[in-house]
Amino acid sequence: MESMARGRPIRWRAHAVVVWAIAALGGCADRGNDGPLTVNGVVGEIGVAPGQFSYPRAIDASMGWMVVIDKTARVQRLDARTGDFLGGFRMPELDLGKPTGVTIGPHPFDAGRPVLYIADTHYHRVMVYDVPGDSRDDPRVPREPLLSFGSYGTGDGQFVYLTDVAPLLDEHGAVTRLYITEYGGNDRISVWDVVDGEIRFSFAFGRFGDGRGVVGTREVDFQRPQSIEIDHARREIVMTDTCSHRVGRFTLEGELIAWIGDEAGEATFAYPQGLVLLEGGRALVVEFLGNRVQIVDLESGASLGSHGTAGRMVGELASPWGVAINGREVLVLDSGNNRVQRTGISARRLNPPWAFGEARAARSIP
Amino acid sequence: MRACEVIVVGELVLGPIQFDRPVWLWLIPVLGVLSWWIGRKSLSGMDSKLRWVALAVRVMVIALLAGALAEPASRREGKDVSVTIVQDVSRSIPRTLDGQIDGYIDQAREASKGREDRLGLVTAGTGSYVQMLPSRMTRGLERQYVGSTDSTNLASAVRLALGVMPNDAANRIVLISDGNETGGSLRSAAEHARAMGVPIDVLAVRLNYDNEVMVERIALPSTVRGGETINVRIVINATKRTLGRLMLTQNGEAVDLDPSSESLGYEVVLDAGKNVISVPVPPSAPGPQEFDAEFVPIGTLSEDDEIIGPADTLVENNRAQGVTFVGREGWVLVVADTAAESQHFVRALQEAEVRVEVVSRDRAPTTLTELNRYEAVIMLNQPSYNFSERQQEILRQYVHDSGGGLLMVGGPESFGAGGWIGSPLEDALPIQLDPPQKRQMPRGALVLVIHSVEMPNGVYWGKQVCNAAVDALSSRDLAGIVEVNWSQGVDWVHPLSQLNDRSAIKQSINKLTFGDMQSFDPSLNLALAGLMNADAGQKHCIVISDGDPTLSRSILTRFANAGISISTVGVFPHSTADFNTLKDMAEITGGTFYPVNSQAAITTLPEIFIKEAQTVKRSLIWEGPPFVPAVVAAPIESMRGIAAVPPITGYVVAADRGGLSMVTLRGQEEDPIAAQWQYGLGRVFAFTGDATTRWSADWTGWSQFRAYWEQQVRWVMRPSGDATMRVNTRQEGEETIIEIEALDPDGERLNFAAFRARIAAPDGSGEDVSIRQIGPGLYQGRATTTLPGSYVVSMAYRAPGAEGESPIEGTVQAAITKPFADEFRTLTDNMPLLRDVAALTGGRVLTWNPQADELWRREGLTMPVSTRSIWLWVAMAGIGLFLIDVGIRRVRIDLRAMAAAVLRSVRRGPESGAGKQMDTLHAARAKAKARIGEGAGDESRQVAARKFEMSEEAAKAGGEQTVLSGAPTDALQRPKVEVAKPKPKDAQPEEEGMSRLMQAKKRAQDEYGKDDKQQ
Repeated sequence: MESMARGRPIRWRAHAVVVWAIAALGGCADRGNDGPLTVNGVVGEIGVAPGQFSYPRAIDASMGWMVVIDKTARVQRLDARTGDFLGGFRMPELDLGKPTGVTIGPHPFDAGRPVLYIADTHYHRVMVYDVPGDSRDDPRVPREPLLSFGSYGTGDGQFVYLTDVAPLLDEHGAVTRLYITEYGGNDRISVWDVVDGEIRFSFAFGRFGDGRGVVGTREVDFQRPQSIEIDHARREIVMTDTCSHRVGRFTLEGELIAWIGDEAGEATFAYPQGLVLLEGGRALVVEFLGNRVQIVDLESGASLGSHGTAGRMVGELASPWGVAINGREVLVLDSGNNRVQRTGISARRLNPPWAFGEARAARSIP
Repeated sequence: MRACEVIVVGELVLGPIQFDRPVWLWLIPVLGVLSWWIGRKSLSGMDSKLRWVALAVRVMVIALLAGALAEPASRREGKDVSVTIVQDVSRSIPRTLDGQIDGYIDQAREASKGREDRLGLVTAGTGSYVQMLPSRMTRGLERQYVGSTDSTNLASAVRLALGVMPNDAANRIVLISDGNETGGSLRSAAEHARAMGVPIDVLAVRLNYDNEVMVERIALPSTVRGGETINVRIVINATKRTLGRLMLTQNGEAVDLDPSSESLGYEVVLDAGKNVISVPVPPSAPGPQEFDAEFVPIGTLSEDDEIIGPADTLVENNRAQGVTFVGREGWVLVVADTAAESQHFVRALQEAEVRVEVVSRDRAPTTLTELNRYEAVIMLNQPSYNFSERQQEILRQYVHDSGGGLLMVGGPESFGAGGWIGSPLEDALPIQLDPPQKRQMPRGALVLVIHSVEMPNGVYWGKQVCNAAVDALSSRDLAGIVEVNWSQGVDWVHPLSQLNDRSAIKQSINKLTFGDMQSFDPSLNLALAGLMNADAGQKHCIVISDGDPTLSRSILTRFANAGISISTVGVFPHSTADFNTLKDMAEITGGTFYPVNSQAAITTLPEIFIKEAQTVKRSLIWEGPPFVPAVVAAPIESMRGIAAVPPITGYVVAADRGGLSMVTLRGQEEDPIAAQWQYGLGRVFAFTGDATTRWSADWTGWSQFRAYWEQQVRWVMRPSGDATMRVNTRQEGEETIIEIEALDPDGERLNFAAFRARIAAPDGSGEDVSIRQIGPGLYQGRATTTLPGSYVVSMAYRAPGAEGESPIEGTVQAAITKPFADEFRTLTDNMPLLRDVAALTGGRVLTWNPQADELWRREGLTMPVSTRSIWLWVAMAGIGLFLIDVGIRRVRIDLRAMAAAVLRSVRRGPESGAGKQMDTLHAARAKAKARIGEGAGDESRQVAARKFEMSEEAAKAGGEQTVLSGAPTDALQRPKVEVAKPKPKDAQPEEEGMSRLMQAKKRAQDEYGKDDKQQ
């Protein structure tokens, strides 16, 4: 009896260690638990008033706020906890289509000034805007960008349908490069250098196709690259190749390191659409038709947990387009349900894209 | 005998608790008193304080259990107010008012809206639309699609507002309107709101058109003889003496009202009130004559004929139309696309002196009035997609309600092969276009691949095109639908299967979500796999998309290799380059690409799908060696003198209709080749072969070719009749009175005529009109005419002829025109109705003062209460307390002794370990057992199991000495818990204590025994 009594705490402690280890690896409280998301709150609802969404498709977050773009082409900055409208505007043109990607980052020529890089998909251009900061804004009023670049075409410096922008920063937080994904038969990643106050096309890699490509080269096939992020710690590009149902890792020069999603033992995806990198060599991937968020170990490709099922209730998802992180709170853009779900998944974003200038920038946002 | 009265006790609210069945609460006083009465004696062994505590606990137990039975629920009262604006957006209210309304709402929101209060908007026109669901986030009013504004249905908008209201807030409707409704009953909807406890505040849009001119109508005789002058009377209402210019057109051509002037129309001065201006129009060509009168006001006039102010406010009611028929008989319309198609047929009719007008499909009539110029319409090898659904419906109406004739002659693009299956006109044909199931024919298989349709009303059009395509297929064909569904991914919405039961696929179409598609490949793979496995001859796929999903060209090659074509419909692409993907898809697989890039082109979508569906319908055509169709011997007029017909080499397979349909020629396997019947007021003849050398080469040289077709055409033509009918119509509210003056061929009044009449409404519907004789040669009927537009009344009459002569019969048409919507008839607001609605629902008449109106104020609102049942918790609390109740009665707890024991235990410190204490207790227990002895054994156990009760005398005599832990051994001289109080002054020997205890119990039992006996 006594030995049993002594044995129990030891066994319990062992269990606790295992649970803790799993939790620490996964970086989340409920990893591995396929089911509805645990949700801290819901932001937004259907509608066209400030703070409401009409099929939102692009999201990014930083410092307690988020930016969401919906199918009315409104760019809204909202409080990431309450959903209060903090400012916004409408894209200047929208008849042909609306943007599908937004990234918060430092100004290409001024590291201390936060801006929005908007992939104006159907107008074949990147639009750079100041972060809207006036809650009295009418988000239906069009606003001209600080600068824009790109035109229609399949040549160098041109885009068909661009989907996302990822800035590469130097040690001072200054933008040195922009990586831009596009699809529409010209599926590739374009790399633009930011030099001497100019944004110049540098090179592009990838082509439309469903092949794997060759590791260590730029010979690679894409089918609708949708999201792209830079892992500044590992000096890698991570992107979602949506219609090939995989996540790709590349060197900064565009050479393929590995695909995740097409080999045994790896995570599998159903139209991975949104992406955000986490600390510890992991990534959060949101799946458009999988209706879930997966945590993926980028080195092994293994799934460390998935959360979410298809549905309309809180904790369920309908065609999510994007994912973002506010502090340690994961925000899922639940497009089909016209809302952002503040999930109970706890994770810390790796190197916020403009972390170096973040403190300065935060002060400058009203 | 008096009926039993049922007492219904409502809910009882006590603070935050609500009892749904409070009658059970009566148990509390009843059982409480009973418990006290019983406890008076049963608790007498306790000291007085403890007895009261025990009694109180018992009463609480009773209260909780009775409370649980009373179904308690916790209440939470809402604090938010939701205001739903119902805005009348009909054309009678100027759009310029939107800004004023927005400003009012903005200011009202600032004045009284709390952070959690909500605002929503529903618009009311012909239809009602939710513009904004009630939400905390809404700032101003956003209006998007409001639908038709030609009429006002405030009732449906109020009901819609009631439907979208949140349940967790107090609701109020604010109705912004002039109160003029043209449909529905606002009062009835207000009753509904009152029943729901929702007040309707009204914000009246005051209208009073001081200066207004309204062309009320054009009064025309419904029919005019050929060569007769038409007297056009224009009725104009004016509120003041007004100068203006009157203009009149006849069939689109201006009528010269003032030959002395070069300008159009002529100036007239209207007096205040009703003015009738007569314009005699010279005799014109036969057929329907459509007049359009417009009054252009210049200004109101003073007594001195000086212009003193503007003349008009609403321009929508300044024009009116009217139609009259000028006698025209014997004309038929032939619709054919090529001369080759029509030349033999038309020549035969011309030789038979039938007056023929030939038009191509794009010049076919589009209105009922135009169609009524002809006695019959003949369609030669016409596919359904050449005619809009509206045209098809009008054609059906022309036959059924206007008594016109229809003759449909076949060809490769006609009947079932021409997409007429499921069309409105199919109902009029004397054959079934769907071939019989027993017929062994190759089937067609069609798969629709649906991408989101990002265009105005995209979901509506998406469903329309799917329905159109599916309807055009025969029940033997296979159809399936693939789309991307957000919850199931790429999947069959309806698996590729035979269309025996169309309701299943229709249900699937209704469930389409038109989800976003990232790649065509999975959908096309699914479609290809389905089509390759399908048991069908013709296989086809239709893709509808904006063209931006990705596409692997390799899958197109697989389609092409499998001989399966893909036709693509590109709707509103993001870029014209998106069409390249869809073009490739069609070109590589041998399909057709259709760009739909404008609002006007959207309406062609169903026709595109019907046309494409025909790709799998070629199987309905029979072509083979010449054979002679069998003449079905029937002594009917249209087959008079026709004993046999030449051979044909092809026809469209159809099936017998049954009923009153009569088949006159039959083909292979008894297929009907020619059939006829009466459809409503008109007649229809169908010939599934053709009238060209394609399938009927031997017919064109046949000696009876002319006779055969003349007889068919004359049989279907509308009979003109011998009587003279003069038809007049006049409008009374929503009804039109039709008066007929009938004269026989001798000019005498025609009596005892029986009429069959139908009225065709502008929306395509029709209804029978009852016509009865009201005087010598005078007949009258009434028809409902609520919609604006042209109505056609068709009447077939039959009256007995003079003795020995055949009856007098024929047909007559008349047109009725309702010039403009009722929306523009009313020149003032309807304040009484708005006041009634406010009073009925407990609402207010608002003043347009946003601060004073306080739209979100709480007064007059019933705040919503949400309840949650808590009976289980109350019952569990009662049960828990019951255990305490038992404990109090069974166990006496001495809190002081417990505290003292704890203190002693603390002072003793750690040396009194648990093991040592347990050993001591075990030893004490063994000793106690030995001392009590065997004789007391059983009895002592029984006593211990009983409730300890002691009389006061016993207590006084001996005091309390009970120690539950056993005999007072050395160890027990420091008991851990003492439950008796007071402690004995001196330590008594154990034997003495136990015997005193036993004696006390015995006395108590004896005493109770006596009491029981006494009772």
